[in-house]
Amino acid sequence: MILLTEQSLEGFLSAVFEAFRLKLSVQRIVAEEIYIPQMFEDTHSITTNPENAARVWKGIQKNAGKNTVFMVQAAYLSELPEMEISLWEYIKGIFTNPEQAQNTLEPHTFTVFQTANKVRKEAHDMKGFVRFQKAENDLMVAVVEPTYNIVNLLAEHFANRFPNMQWMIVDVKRGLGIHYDCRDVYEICGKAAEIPKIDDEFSALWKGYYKFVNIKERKNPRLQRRCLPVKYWKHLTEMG
Amino acid sequence: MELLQKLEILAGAAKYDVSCSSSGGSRTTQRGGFGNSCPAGVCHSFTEDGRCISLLKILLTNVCLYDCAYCANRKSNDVPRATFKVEEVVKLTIEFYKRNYIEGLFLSSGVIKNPDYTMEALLRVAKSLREEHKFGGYIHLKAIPGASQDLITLAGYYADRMSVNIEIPSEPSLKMLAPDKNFESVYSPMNRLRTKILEHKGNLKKRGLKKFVPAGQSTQMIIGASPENDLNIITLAASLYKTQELKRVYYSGYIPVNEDGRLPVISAPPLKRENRLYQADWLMRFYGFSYDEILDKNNPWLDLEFDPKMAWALRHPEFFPIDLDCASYEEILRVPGVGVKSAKFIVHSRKFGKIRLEHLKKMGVALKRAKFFIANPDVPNEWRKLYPEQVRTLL
Repeated sequence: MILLTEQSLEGFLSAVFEAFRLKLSVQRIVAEEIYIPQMFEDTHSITTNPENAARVWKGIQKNAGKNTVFMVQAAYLSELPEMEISLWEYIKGIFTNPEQAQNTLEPHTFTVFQTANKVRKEAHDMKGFVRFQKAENDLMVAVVEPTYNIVNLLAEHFANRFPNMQWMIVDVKRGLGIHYDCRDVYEICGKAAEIPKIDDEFSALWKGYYKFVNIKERKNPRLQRRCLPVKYWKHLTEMG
Repeated sequence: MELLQKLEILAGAAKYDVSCSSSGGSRTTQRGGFGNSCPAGVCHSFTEDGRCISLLKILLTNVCLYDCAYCANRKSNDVPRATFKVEEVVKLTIEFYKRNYIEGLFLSSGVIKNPDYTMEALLRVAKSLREEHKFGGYIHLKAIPGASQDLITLAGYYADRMSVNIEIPSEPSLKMLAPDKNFESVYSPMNRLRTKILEHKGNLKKRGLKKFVPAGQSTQMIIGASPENDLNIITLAASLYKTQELKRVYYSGYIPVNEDGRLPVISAPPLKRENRLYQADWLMRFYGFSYDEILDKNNPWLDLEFDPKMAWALRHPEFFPIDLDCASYEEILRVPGVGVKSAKFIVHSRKFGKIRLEHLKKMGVALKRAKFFIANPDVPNEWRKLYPEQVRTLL
């Protein structure tokens, strides 16, 4: 059976809950928005239910600990097409056979572990690659285009680092972002995630600095590209 | 002078110091302030030479009393000189930090008037950042050789990391290339920092104790400006890790910036050698190798063709093959092509079943190298019976 969900982690977890409750044999879990109907496929639409989703979270935490909760969350944020089914198999294992659940020789489990690591790595790298620019009203604005949907994973880091600064980080690829108003972080999308006008005189000093510290005798563009993939260059002040 | 122009001179003059790390700190944001540091450190950008930018790395001034042969800022060089005002460094640090360009400040300096005067100037910057601006980001300060113990100690309360550069890996060479310096002037501040750091570690539980150089100290050696061999260098590094408790030793392949009869003439900086030294350093810090396993009197130079772990494995066929199903973590770490991450992964996974080559490949093990050194049913028998010399040619 194919479970059709809302395109969100809560939607996915609601499907996990229903699959357990109704003892469904799950073939795929996929967001309704992107599902392309095929003949002879047996589908079942799942309504998102935050309470059910929370119960799944609690169960995972109880059976496998807090780290596993973070790992499932990270793997889901990869938005990879086959991720839901790997996560389903992994979570099923946590509830039915917790001892074997962490068997990374099993392909679905391995996929979850590895994908979660990749997502976390990007989130960590992005803590360095975010570039704030000064906009009107002293709002600091950063534009990013991460491979995975990791903007929310940056919220705590920047809220702790700049508690008295208003800032927003916008993922222009997905049209969403986070906004901090010196008290709380809010998720934003649509009009709220539009980029305001930017006017920042410090970018010239930074661009200069970037050039001044290069040692031309050591030129090594391959190493540079390995550490700082070209896909991120577009939104780096120093590369402009 | 314009700020941009000063930045050009004083960032350009600081770039040969290779220390870039912003790791090891764990400062939390002060009330009413901004900035913190996390243990893992964060790289913010990478220059065309592939080096990481994590800190705003500048000299307070490139005016210098000394005349060290290898240094671009030596007294006898005719280069443009500049000096930052304390407020300028503070402003650059804060504004760069708020834009998330950097993780913090790395501040060094040429020696002006005398070592104490210079150290005091560095201190004023750190003090202003921490106290006036409540800056919690990373600060790396140079301990100026020859500065008084009190000033060095005071600096330690503001900095996350401090460093004194050895620069030249033996005293005779140092004296020849840097007539104003000797090992004593380098080791004296290093010893002082070491003592204070240990003291603070012992008193960690005392409440309200201010942090003292929480990210530890580091140093740098220039490679290839003087005749020391790799064995001399890693022996020195090993003793610095052990007796001085340094967090990092950096190796900087010599780049000729001056014409000087005391220095060698080279066509290109020894980057491969530098890379091999870093690999040897990693083996000592994360892979449980001691320096005398990596090199010895009969092999005083690192193999440029093979990485030091591979070179060790080829010299020790009796250690292999390693059975991944029952070998200890430490043994697995010694297999060429297996890193810390994959060794941990192997130890975790083998509880659940037999590890096959396909698993190793997925874990990121470099099978190209590892396959000659492991006992595994997927590895043809003949690979395991090869003599070192044959493996050498196959690789």
